[in-house]
Amino acid sequence: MTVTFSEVTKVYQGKKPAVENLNLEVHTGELLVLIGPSGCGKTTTLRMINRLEEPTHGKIQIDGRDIEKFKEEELRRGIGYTVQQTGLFPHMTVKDNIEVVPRLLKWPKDKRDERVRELLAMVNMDFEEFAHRYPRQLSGGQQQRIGVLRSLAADPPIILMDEPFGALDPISREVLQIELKKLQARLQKTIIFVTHDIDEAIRLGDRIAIFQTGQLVQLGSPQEIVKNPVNEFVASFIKKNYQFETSNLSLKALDLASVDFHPYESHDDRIILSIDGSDDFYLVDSDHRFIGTISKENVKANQITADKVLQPIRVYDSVQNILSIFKDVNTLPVVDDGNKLVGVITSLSLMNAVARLVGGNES
Amino acid sequence: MNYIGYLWSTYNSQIIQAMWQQIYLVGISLVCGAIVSIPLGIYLSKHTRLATWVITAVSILQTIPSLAFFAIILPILGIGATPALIVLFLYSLLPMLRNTYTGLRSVDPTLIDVAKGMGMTSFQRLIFVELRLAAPLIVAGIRLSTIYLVSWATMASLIGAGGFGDLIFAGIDNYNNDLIITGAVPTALMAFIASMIFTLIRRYVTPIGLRRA
Repeated sequence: MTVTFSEVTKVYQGKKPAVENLNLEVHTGELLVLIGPSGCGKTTTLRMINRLEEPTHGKIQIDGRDIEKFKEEELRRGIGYTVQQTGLFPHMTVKDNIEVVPRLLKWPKDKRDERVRELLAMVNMDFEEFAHRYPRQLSGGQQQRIGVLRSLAADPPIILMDEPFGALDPISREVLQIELKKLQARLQKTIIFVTHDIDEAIRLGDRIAIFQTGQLVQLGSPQEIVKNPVNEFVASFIKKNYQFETSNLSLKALDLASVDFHPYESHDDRIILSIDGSDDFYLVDSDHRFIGTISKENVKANQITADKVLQPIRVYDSVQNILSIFKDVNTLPVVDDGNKLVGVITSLSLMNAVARLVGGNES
Repeated sequence: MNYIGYLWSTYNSQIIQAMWQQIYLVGISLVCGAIVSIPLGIYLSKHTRLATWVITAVSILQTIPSLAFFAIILPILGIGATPALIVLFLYSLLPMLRNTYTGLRSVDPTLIDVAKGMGMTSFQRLIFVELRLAAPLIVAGIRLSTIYLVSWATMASLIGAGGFGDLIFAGIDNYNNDLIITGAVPTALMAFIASMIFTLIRRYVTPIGLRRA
């Protein structure tokens, strides 16, 4: 289903417009990320779609039908909604929370039960173990998963997500982002996703819409935006949040690195990560700061101490520098200025980088 | 034990009569108070500007000493159970009104937003979310009103409404300590038992997901 904004303006009394003259079409089955600094109008834009806010001017259509024509409650029951801090009802079990909209739609009990089982299975949560727990008996990541499942419950074609992973620690956030990507590949929903984290936007978005003080300043695929920011604001926004140089002539360490970490397990405040293309595991603390690498054998033997002294390199180290070191090792961790592990260069990631260069910049 | 046995054998018919009168006074005024104050609290939680005015007005009512209140009502409504019930009803309002209002206002706004965003009508939000979460505080308000009413109802004896106050004031007038105790102890017991009952109810209405482990 498409969502179309035509000349939409939202003004709160006595203030500058929160959203000004917005024209935007969200395509069927795409994940569109709305991003920008706080107060830029991204959340207001999202909330106008399910009429939690009413536009001052202009109109919004779903598949060509003006949303004003729907009964408010019926419109909302047909649109999934997830917020930051989960918004789970603390007095309801996981199952009851997921069932809210199906109940409002008066689904029979068997159908609801079956749906809850199906949804929990999608994120590998055992029905018997979790269905009857209360939200506070779950970890933050589990709660947020339930929040996402709840928005999928009645199988709505459109889902609104308002910074759903904003309150999570970096590892859980990454796990949930990966899960959402998988879900989306399978379900092909039209998702409008608000965030202020450009990494998240680039990782998840089919397209990204960048907002600044109520205006949509750029709309495009992540590659387009990173490559051709339309103005200084977009460029600085990307740069500030994402140390990523895209010019082919000045490739930096991060361009060559694989960034798709998979959390393997955690021990107290230490987390073990694995990454495709490397046999080693990487040890970080709860703030994702790099501690060291561990060989597979030691992880299996539960020896959770860094056993290899691998000097990490910085995100902006040059290619020449990297290649000269890479002769002697087969993996190279990449850290940012805060010593946070952001990627690992492996033979695989180097080959991918070369492939990207040869094949233009499409990934 | 012997003393209690003696009091009981001497005054049992009066105790039982006073007890029923007391229960009648407290019960009727509490039920009427709840019927008015809880829906009013719900309404005010959606109209906060009005709320300040109404709650202030009801608070002022509460500051009138009960003895004075009964005295004022006497020339207007005369004596008997009816004027006493009216005074007690007015006194019962504030704790229940204030707790209903506060309970509903303290529901996390995110939850209300989500309930709305998922397509609940305002009535469904009230029933399935807001009242469920505010229930423990509302019951705490009813408990408080009940305890107050049990003690104030003894004053109702002054305008001829009966109750344990009859025994206490008769005891004071006749320098009869036995009578005073016969009135005062059951009053305290009644307040205590009511408090226990509502504490249990409060535990029962607290959603399992919010109970302390």
